[in-house]
Amino acid sequence: MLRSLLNSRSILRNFRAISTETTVAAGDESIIDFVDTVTESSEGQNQSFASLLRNSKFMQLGDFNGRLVVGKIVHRIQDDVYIDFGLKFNAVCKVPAANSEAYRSGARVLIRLLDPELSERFLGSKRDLTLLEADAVLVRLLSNVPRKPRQKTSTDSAAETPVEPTKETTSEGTASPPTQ
Amino acid sequence: MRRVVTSAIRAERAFSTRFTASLQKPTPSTSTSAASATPDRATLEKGTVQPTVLKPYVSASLQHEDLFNFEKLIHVDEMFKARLHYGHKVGTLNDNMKWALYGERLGVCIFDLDVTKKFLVRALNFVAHVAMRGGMILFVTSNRDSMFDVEKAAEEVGQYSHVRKWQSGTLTNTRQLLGASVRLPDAVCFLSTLTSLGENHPAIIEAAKMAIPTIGVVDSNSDPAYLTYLVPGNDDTPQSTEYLMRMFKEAVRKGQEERKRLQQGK
Repeated sequence: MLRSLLNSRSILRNFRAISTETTVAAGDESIIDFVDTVTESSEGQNQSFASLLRNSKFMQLGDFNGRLVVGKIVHRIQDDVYIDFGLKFNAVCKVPAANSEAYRSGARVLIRLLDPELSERFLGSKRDLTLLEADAVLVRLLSNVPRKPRQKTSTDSAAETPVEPTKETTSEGTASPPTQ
Repeated sequence: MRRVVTSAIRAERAFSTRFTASLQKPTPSTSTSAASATPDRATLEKGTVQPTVLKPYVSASLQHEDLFNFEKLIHVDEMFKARLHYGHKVGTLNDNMKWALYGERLGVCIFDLDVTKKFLVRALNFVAHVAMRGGMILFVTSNRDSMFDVEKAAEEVGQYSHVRKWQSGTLTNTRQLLGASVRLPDAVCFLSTLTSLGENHPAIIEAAKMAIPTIGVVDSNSDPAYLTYLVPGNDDTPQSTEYLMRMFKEAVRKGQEERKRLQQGK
């Protein structure tokens, strides 16, 4: 009995170690730089399409399955966020329960890409049926909504009043579009 | 016949150097030989089967491949940044779209942007020509992400758009639906040719029935049948639709400016 408990504890410890490792790996800036905006390519007006494609991040990405990719939230409907990561389709992910307010459109997130397009061939059909979206798992938030809202949130965190900041950010959120 | 062709070629060469001068007199070939202004009966009959034999008789501005110089306006790297080269997965590929593909990368189709550029120039040239002659262009899409952008862009250049559900007979049965005879668009431009269910847009067939020329942005899973001018490329990403709309807008603007200049010249 005791031994099994010990075993389970060690397993738990292992789990913890793994989870910290993954967060460290996710926090590594070099990886983020590498996969940042898949469409971004080296500049040059006169490059041929072949060389553009060859030097693109899309090619450097290699096999899509399990790649960590930086994306930008372009849309949010209740608990679903639409993440644009530079390929054809957006990835649709559920917002985690913790800190769900931060997952607004404009925020940068790290995702683990599974499939660039969800398509499947159904029995009897000649061609695949596509859902027109990518499959990915949301890993974590990289940065909050840029510029104005971010400055406000930083001042809010300095003030450290739990209820008011949300009100302020919402009021500024409505106020900011005319200035932009 | 040979003389006609050579005179037309000469006219075209003169035209390519300064097209504004020759635009003011629409048929410069008439000055060289009066007989070439109208084709004879035999040529007309041949033209019903092979329309290209009538090419020497059409106005010189139509002879030019790229009258408004769109070749300079379109850059492959811009199209690349607009993600125009991404196709669907190979499983969804339509066999009739294979000609436009560069290849396949790990199951994802990639369009050859050199081919896309060639076809986009052709389509833009047509759009500008329609706008130059005061034509009405209808922009159609069924993509929910880009419908508002398309509506706005069409309105900006004084053209029309249809981005909602297509009621069958909108083009073919106007008398019944609208109660009055209306002017149909002179060209229909599809920013996506498939509906969200993956079916062909019903307006393609209707435009073909009414002999309205169509421009279609066709993705790797679309059916290019019944479309007059094809633009192979990504039609799902908002960025690529935005880029294409910008180009179409530019083409309409160029045509309208040319029209204004011609009217002021007269």
